Amino acid sequence: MRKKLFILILLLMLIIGLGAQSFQDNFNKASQLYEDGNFKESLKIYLGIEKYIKNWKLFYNIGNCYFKLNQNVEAKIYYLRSKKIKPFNSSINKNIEIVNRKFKDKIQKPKLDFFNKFLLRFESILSLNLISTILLILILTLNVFIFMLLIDGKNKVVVYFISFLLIFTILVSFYHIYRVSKHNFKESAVIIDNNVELRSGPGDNNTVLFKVNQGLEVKIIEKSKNWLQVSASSQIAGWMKEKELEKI
Amino acid sequence: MVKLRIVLILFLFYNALFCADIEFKATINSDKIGIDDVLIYKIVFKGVDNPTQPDISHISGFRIIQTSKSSEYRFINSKSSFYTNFEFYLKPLKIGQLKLPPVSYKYKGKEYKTESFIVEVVKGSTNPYTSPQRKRKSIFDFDDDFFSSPFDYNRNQKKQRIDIKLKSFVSKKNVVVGEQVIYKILLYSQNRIASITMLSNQSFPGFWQEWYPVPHSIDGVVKQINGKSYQVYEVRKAALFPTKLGVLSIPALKFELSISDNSISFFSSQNRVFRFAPAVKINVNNVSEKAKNLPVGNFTFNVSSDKHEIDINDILTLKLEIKGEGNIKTLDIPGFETSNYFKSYPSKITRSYDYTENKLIGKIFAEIPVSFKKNGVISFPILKFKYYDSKKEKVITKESHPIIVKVIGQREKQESILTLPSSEIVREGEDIDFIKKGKIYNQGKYYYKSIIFKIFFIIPFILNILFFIKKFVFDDLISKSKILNKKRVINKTIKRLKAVNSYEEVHIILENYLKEKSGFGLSEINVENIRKLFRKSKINDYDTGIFIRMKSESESSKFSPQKKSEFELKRDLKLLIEILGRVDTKLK
Repeated sequence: MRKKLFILILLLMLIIGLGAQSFQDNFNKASQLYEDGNFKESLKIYLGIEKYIKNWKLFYNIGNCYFKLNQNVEAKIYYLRSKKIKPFNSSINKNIEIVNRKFKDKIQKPKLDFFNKFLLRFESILSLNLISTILLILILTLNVFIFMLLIDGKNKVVVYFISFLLIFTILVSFYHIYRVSKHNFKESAVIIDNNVELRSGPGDNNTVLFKVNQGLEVKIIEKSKNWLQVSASSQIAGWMKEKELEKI
Repeated sequence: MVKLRIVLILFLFYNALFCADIEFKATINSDKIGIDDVLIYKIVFKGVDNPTQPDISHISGFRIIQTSKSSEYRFINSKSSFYTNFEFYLKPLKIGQLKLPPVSYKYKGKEYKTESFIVEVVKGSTNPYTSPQRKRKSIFDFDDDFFSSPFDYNRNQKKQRIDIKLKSFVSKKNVVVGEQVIYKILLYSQNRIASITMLSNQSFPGFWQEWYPVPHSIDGVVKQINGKSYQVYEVRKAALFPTKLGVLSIPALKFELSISDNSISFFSSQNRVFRFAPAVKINVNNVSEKAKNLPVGNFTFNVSSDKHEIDINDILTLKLEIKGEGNIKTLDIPGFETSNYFKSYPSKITRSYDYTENKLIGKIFAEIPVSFKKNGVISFPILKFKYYDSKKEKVITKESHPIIVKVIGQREKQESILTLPSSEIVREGEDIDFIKKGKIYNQGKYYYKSIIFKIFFIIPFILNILFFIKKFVFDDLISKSKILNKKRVINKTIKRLKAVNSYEEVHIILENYLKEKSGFGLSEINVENIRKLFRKSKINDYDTGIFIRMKSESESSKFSPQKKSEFELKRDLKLLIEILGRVDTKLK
């Protein structure tokens, strides 16, 4: 039984390893095609990998392929997806700036204040997986100390340590919950059609406030059936149909 | 059947329409070579725009010592086609039969493959005409004269039949520095030409040059020269701009031509000839002191703005255009001096060319970003562009039209974001950053979603809770509780009695029962003490008697030769369990 389990695990690891290698090979092949100027074929392979892997380099390269094929909206969507993982990468930011020039609507985003910049940088360094791992280690350590307390009875040092760990674990847990909820809520999107109407409420009967065009990045605020409340800046906001945008 | 035919016809039609123009073929110069020889592996593309070099790294047994790329025309049935050739010079690494596997090439989503070849590699060299001196020559040292072939008979035959000439022409022989000269090479032929390839270097010292793109097909014209009728083709063309004074020479250019006349091919398999476009000399004169370093030609100059009113916080883009015949690549673009009212930044410059029949027309388009320091009506200074007109032999100055812009609004912030460092760097164009390479891994897989994470998260808590229950609930409460313990002991005893196989085991179970219930030590469990305990607990004599009897019989059974049957054992155990139930309720 043990032998069978061992072989099964080994096989599983081999399959995972081979799968990862095949993705890497395809990624290298697509990059070579891009270098050769065959953007269409390169894009095809990158999109094939994207079905299984989400990676900032992959998103960035897909964005580049779309840009070279003059599909600027798609290019921007993928650049923003890449930026979501690596917010401070200079190449991503530069390419977004260039692709933005291709669109009619140009809204300059307000510069981030020190606190928000720090928070964003902090989030980019501490990935969600890292937070999960830290939380798990804390939980395990906390439980080891609780176990020691149960065995030995009252021990001052152990009690202090447990108190400290408990407070720290609770804080990390809250931050983990915040990050998970933030991750699950896709807050930004890109308009994919031209002449999209932003209305005063969710429904065609409401007044048209603004008309916006494709390529504009918006923030999703609220959802009501098939309508989304979005804002492009502090002054431009309204409700639009969900199908007219692509979430990042 | 009819449907099948239609499909077949449609398929053939499709092939003829879309696929017939593309060709991807490989050839080798010989299928038997010596280890000292070089195999020429040639890949030919037809109908493919600027193909990249095919990858032949998978070919084993050979070492690539040189590669070359050339393009040529082939004239087949009075139609010309454009071919690109890649030649790989392969040195065999071992003797024997070596296989050259097919080479594949992807073009517009379709994969093309060449055929495979088998080459026999023998010792030494297979070329009987290769003298040691000849061998040392570079593989690029083609014979200038085709007639140096060892086959004299064929040589004489061909000498009579081949009539091909190349001529070089320049539009002007007396020019000034920087003035445009159109240089072209014409092919005069009485033979049917299959292909033509330029072998010489395309750059000439003393000139800046721009070669005309090679067209995909050339139409020939018929000309009568000395009573002979020649087909004339314009094979190459360039716009030259002399950069030095004096007599400059355009060197003779070497061409390789393939002839497709049947008469020639019949006598020999060799039908290549080499011809030179003769050298041409151009006299380059100096210009007056005023015109020195100015562009030469005829230009138009224009500066414009698409906005006449602008917010002070916005950037205005001025468009500057210079168009004309001249050395556009080396032109300096006039710029605005920064004033108290506005500031100009390095411009984005785009250069393009229009290849007309008699001249090369260039265009420079510059976008100059300008920011404003003050609001009000701002008039930009007039820009001047000077050039030397060689026809009029004087310096011409062109001026931009006045540009007036109304700047409105208030500045939001000081210029901090608009101040760019002064630099000599000129922006030539703009493009996105290149793709990222290297290792990729899945960043979309989140640990918190996995079952393992959840298990590792919950299990330590569960284990600690279980341990807590065991320690504080079970050990401290249950095991010490008389009510709970009472039931537990009788149940355990009955369970053990039910599992008994021989009579000898019974007395041990009963002793353990009494030990747990009464707190007796093993040595204290005897008939007298049992009677005392049972009497104290008001258990009747019948039950006491049977209990003691069964314990005694069990103790003595291991020494008794007469064993109880299975039926008797079951019957006694049933009775004992019945009695124990009654005893347990009364025992304190």
